[in-house]
Amino acid sequence: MTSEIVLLVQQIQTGSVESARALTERFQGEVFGVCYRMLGQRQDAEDVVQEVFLRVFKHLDKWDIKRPFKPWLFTIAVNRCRTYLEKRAKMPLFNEEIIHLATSPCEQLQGELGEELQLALESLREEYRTCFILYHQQDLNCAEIGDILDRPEGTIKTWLHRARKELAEWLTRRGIETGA
Amino acid sequence: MNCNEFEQQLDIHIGKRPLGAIVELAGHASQCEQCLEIWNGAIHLEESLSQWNRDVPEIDIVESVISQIKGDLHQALPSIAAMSQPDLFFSRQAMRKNEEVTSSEKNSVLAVVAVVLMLATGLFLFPSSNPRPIEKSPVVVMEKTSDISEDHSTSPEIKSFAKDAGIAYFSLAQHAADVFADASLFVPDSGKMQIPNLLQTKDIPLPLNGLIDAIESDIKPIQSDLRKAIDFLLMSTPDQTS
Repeated sequence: MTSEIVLLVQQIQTGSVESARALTERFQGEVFGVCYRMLGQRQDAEDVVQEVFLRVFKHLDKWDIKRPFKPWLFTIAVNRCRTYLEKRAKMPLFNEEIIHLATSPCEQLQGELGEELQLALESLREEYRTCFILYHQQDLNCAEIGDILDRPEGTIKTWLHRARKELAEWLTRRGIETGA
Repeated sequence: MNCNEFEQQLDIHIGKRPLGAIVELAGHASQCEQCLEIWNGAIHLEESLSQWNRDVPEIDIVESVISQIKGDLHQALPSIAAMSQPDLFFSRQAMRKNEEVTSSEKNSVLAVVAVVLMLATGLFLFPSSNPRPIEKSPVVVMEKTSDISEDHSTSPEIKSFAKDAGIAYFSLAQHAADVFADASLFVPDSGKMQIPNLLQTKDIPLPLNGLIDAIESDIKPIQSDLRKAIDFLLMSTPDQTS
């Protein structure tokens, strides 16, 4: 697996378009998963995923061949999502939409547990959300997440615990409301 | 199991294996009202997680990405590749350096050959019949040091004279190297030349023997160098002329 990726990267560095295609195909789903869950919108996530791969190809020489590729790739993806979220937060219209969604019961979301969770995630602090997504969606362990976010493993465990607690509370509250 | 252990176990297993299947957790939740609330929230989260993980849509951005990087792959990436292959990069640099050194070495060799040829030509034209440095200098030496025949080997003036001769030789060589760059003009036609003995001391009067010995000791290395250079030229001349 690792040697296969190393080979692909080396071929890309010599100008192989086919290897670039293979690498994109191999990781686009996982990167999109992270971006989609962090941003909550498909179109935004697609834009960011493209940006992530363009950056990856541009900075391939900065990847340490001795370290696993996936955490390096996810570091870029998470950073791009953060930047995108910062930009989006400055858009007044979008902020109003989010506040409206978060404070009023949405008929479309009622009964859709997955979408309820996504909505709950968007209300979390960005660090908690990122940890939760990387742990529960990408199956990374706390040490790997620590590498990506440049934080100690203990901090990641704490963030994960708090994220779950807040999400569970949100879901319980929404469950009571919808059930009423 | 106490409440702390219950929460720790929940953190470990949630989303990884079905919570309901863990008998100890369910048992503790049924006995502890505070933990029951946490348990219910965890079960709710677990159900949401399984659906949330299935909800990610498919995506295909491959062609879009490739179309954007195609130009870069042919222009920018090869330079990245060159930077990331230090051995290749440095070997190219070394090759360039070697090429420069080689050409400068060639020029130096040509200059030395020119000097040697010039000197050799001079020696052939004026073999030992040119005793000027030997005749003139001893007169001066004889006047100043009358005991030269007794202690000729250690006389500082003789040594000084020999050294000056050596310095003059190197200055001349340097100057000639600068002036005559093209060695081929000075290559003799014949490849079988006899190198005369530059230091014949038989006919020189006895009082001058010490002086001659001193000069000889300092000039011998020069003579040896000249012989080597001339031998080399004699060997290489037929090839060049043909």
